[in-house]
Amino acid sequence: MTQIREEDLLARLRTLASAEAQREASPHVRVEVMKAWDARQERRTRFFGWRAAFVTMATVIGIALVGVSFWRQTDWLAIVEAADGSHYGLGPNTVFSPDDSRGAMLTLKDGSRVEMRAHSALSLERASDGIGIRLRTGGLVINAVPQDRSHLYVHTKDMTVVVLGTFAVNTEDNGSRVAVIDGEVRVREGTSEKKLTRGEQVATSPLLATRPVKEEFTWSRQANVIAAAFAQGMANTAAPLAAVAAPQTRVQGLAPTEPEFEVASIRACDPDHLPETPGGGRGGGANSLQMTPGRLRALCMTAATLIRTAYGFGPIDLEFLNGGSRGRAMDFTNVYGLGVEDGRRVRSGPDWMRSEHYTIEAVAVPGQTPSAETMRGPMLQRLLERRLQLKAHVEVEQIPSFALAVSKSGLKIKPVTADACEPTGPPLPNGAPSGGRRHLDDVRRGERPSCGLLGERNGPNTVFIGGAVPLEGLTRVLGSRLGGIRVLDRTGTTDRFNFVLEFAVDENAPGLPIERRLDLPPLPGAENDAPLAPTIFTALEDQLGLRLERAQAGREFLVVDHIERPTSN
Amino acid sequence: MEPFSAPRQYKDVQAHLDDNALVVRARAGDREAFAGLYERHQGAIFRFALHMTGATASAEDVVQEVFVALMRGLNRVEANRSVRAYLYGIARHIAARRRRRERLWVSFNAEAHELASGSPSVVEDLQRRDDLVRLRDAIVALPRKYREVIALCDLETLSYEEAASSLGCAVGTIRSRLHRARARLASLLERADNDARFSRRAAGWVL
Repeated sequence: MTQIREEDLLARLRTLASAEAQREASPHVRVEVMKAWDARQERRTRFFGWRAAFVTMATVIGIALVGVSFWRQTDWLAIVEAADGSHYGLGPNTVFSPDDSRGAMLTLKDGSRVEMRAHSALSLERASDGIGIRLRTGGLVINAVPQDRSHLYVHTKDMTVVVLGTFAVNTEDNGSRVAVIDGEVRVREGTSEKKLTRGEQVATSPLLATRPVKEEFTWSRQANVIAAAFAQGMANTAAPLAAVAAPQTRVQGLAPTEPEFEVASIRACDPDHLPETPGGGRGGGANSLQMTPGRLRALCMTAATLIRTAYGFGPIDLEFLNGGSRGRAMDFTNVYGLGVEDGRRVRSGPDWMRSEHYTIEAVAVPGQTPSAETMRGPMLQRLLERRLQLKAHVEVEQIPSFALAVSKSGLKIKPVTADACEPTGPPLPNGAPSGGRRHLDDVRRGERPSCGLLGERNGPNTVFIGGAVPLEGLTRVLGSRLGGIRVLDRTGTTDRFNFVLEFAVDENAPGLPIERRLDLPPLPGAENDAPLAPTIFTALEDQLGLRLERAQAGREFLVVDHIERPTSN
Repeated sequence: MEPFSAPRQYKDVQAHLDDNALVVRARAGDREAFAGLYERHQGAIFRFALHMTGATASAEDVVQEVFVALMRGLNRVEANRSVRAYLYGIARHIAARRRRRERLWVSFNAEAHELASGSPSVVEDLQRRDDLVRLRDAIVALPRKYREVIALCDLETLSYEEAASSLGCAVGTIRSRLHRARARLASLLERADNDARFSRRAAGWVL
């Protein structure tokens, strides 16, 4: 038995490297690659061609004329977190009504959080000094971030509320009612203005029944937290309500009474020499995060990944979705693999921020019960600010995107009412059973489609079946089909439609990178013997009377202004 | 459609441009610039993929996928980052995915003839070729993270910094991983050498 010495091994490796130095891929690979290039260029030319030149010229002229206001009008004002966990941007003057009976949560651009009661409807608008919410029907609980120079307004049909705290607002046929949970609000009704503080309420009509403030938010998903905060009074209000606040509130500064980690150990680590996971434990490996009530463990992450996580950005694969929204939901106990920040979400700062790994184990102040989101977000941010002297700010860059617009020939689908579809899922409120899911064949036979937007495969094609769906909903799934690019809604209509859209799965519509990487088994229907449908672009135009045009969308990223290696424990 | 252009033409037109300049041109739709990037990096990516997948056909598929991915992601190539490191980063993911999916790879033995050289004697040539085939088989048998550092640092002779950038980890990690990879490779190779020696003895070879 001989022992191979390192120098002998290196010599053999050098010989191998030398023997292979001239090896290359066969010429046919080059041919295939260049064919793919030519095909792509041809498609781009065909699609964008003279139309792109015209649109570009028009856009340039438009920008010159309208200036910054053009961008302001097309940008999103809030991120909607639907009850099913999906996120998407909500632009100005779009009427939004959650489909789900559990309502929806919105994070406004200024960081304020708005919870919508089921069957509510609102639209957002830009005010000269902030954001306006126009509540058309239903109820809201709003937790406003401290306003500096900008303001948050809530308009109902008969009053305007200037927000300075947390409050519930309801509007009904007879009038509107406002109840203050924390802080204060100013209510304008006609020419009169009234200031309300915690525990006070006002109604615009005597026909509206008054009820205790604590009953105004019983429908909220955060009802227990809000009720506890309300009951404990102003002194204890800030901490529990922090659970409702979004991570980005930290960008504008948080009150000092918010929950903190009492103890935190930050140790340098080597991702290749991680300690064994204790028996029965769930180890996520390097770059993983796990939280249990009151405890956070970030295992062997770079400072850049920690910063990205603290500010609520998800892995880069999701960057184009939702316009780059933040606030990726995390729960206790689950282990989240967060990858390695690659410089797209966290920029600037020293190199060690991206190369050195640290393990953080942190314990919250006893008695505080912060949510997983609070620990992952504001608390981790404050820890990084304290121990790494982190100073960072958020900037927005423009990225290429698409916009969905009505084609010149007009829409080829007709608006329908909300009940023009077949409900699926749990039994209906009246006890009647809901229908089963309607597939492509059912709908083409003339049956009503299932409510919502359902996707399925038909041989080499993807099919989307819409049942009373607003076109804004279609933009979200188109974004994922186009490889994870954001699609803006420029259709100018909030009507609902029934439709079938069938297009080829090809380079134009490959799906999200993360979907492709997962190598999921083919969906039912993939084996169907269906002819190849047109591309997604042609299909939209021919089947629905819609077209995709090039656009720009805003995407956030963090700039690290200052950071130091962690201080000793 | 524009006809396929020969590498010579690329060399004349693009050779003086660095990678980032070629990326900028390719972004603007310059076919020759993209072809230039391909010519400049396909060999290195192919060899890396070869050691990651263990089969020529798979390696060529990886090269094709890498450059198609580059084509789609030209806007994501950062100006201050090495294009080759970016390509290695894509290649390692694609190769890993292929290997997971295929769960098999062709032994280099089937391709041993590709290592023929100008050795003076037939026996020396056969033995040298046999040595290299065993070495390549041993590399392919390494865990992925060790294969990557051996392929990048020892075979493609990247610096530790370049390898760290390609693999998205710290320089210290590359150092320690390479040390362990070499030890593991030496062990595998030693076993393979002994087996081969035994086989040759059994076959009556002169040692």
